[in-house]
Amino acid sequence: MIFVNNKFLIVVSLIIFSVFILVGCSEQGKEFKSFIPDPTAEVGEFFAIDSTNFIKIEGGEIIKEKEERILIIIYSWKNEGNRADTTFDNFTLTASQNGEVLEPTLDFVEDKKKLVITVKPGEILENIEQGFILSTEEPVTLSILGSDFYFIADNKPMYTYPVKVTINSDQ
Amino acid sequence: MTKAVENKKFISRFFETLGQIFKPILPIMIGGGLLQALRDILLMTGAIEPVSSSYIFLNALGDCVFYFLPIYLAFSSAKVFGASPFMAAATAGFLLYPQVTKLFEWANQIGWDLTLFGKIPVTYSKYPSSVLPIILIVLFQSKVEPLVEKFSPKVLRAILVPLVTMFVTGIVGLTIIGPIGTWIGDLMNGLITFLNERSAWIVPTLIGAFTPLLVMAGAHYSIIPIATQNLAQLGYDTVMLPGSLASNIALAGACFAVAIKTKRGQYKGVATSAGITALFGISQSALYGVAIPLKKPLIYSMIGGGIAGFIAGITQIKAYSMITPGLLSFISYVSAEASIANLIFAIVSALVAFVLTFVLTWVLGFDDLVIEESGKETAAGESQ
Repeated sequence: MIFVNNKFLIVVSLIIFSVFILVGCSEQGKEFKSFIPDPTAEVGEFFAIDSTNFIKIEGGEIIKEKEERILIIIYSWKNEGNRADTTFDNFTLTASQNGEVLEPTLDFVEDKKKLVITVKPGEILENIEQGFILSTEEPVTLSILGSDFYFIADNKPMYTYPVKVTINSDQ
Repeated sequence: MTKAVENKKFISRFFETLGQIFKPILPIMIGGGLLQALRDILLMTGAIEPVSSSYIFLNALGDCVFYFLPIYLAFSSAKVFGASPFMAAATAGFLLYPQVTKLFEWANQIGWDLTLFGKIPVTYSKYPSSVLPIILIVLFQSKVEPLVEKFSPKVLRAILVPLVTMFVTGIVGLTIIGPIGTWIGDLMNGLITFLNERSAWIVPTLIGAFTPLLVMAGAHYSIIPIATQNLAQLGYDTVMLPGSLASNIALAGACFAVAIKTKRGQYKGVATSAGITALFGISQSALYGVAIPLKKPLIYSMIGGGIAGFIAGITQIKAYSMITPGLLSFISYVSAEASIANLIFAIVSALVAFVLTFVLTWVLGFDDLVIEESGKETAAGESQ
């Protein structure tokens, strides 16, 4: 006769039951879809990065300082949300070259306070600047990540991703 | 008393204190670690998908233990240092507050220099899962609190003590004590880059040996970008992931030897489950539940991890994707670009880490946990 320890059986059953509940109950009951942005965009046009924020990369300017080349990115942000907000609460713009994340610098931007200005719903904040220290002359990939926690596709949540824009750095 | 004896006493007290702090937290760390292992098994077997609400819930269920570790540590540290536990937990909550965490991330990514009151510089720090900063902050609180109590008028004490203690501890923690992990991490990052450019085997060896200490200081976050960058630029990592694999498996080896050899029945279960989670790459319960309280297994796992890291370094094994460094990560050493030798050397490195640390712990022994008259557990009594 096989000996079965009752306590052990109860613990194992509880674990299996919990996992089934977690797996079974966590699915959505009805069809639901959220906004999903295009993964890439072009310079000079407004594009959505999430359900409420639109960005337009105006262009880049290179400053030579001692041994370093600093790329200043100029862009606009349209707040399509329903409340006044700042860039801090809505998106982050970072840059990389060949997979290497570039070191940011705000030393040469004209008005860094634009990064924390409150923008009313429906309004556009123009000429926002951010700087990055270039490491090569290869193209720079800008990654702009919005504020949504998840995107929903095929009734399943998926991790958000940044919209990527490529810009030249060989000026 | 000679300086050497004093140093030995200090180190011994340091580890004993850490052991006391971690002891009450150990059950949730084991639970969290096993839940993360279960998550990984369900993922690998296809029972859940990585982009599903099931994964998000199951991941959070296990990860919340480690993400909010500073809060539990604050509470526990306060009891050890004689400070107010809830005030300590509140300070930890302040450092983990979503807006504060987000502000740090945002400022770090765009190059914004954070200041307090426009004057005091605030260094970028990552507090989720960190250990040493919050323990030091609570230690500081335990010195501030009695002083405030002493100098406050009796009628105002109920207001002044929490107000001044929380304000002073929070501000000093944020600006001076908290960034300690970042400073150590930045130093390590520079050192790793410097050494890696000169000799490829040194860094996996060092990571294999010293990862437990980096995890304690919360400095391991600073070396994760090295792996991320290598994966993005080269398509593989030869530095951090193989070194961390050696370190985690070595801790598992130490835990299993302790589980077999310890004379304390209940501790066998703790060491076994810590060993299982370390095999899956979740090393916190092995580190804080076994290696640190018993001290010697920590040294053995650093030796085992260092030698296994050295093997990973000289054979230049390559990890092709970011998977938690444990048994399930062997799959990341398989790639169309790599020969089968890559996987074999990864397995050899892990085997050496496990067997060597197991044998060292078994043969050289450790001071088993004993129960003092007060019921407090301490490390004492050879288990050889």
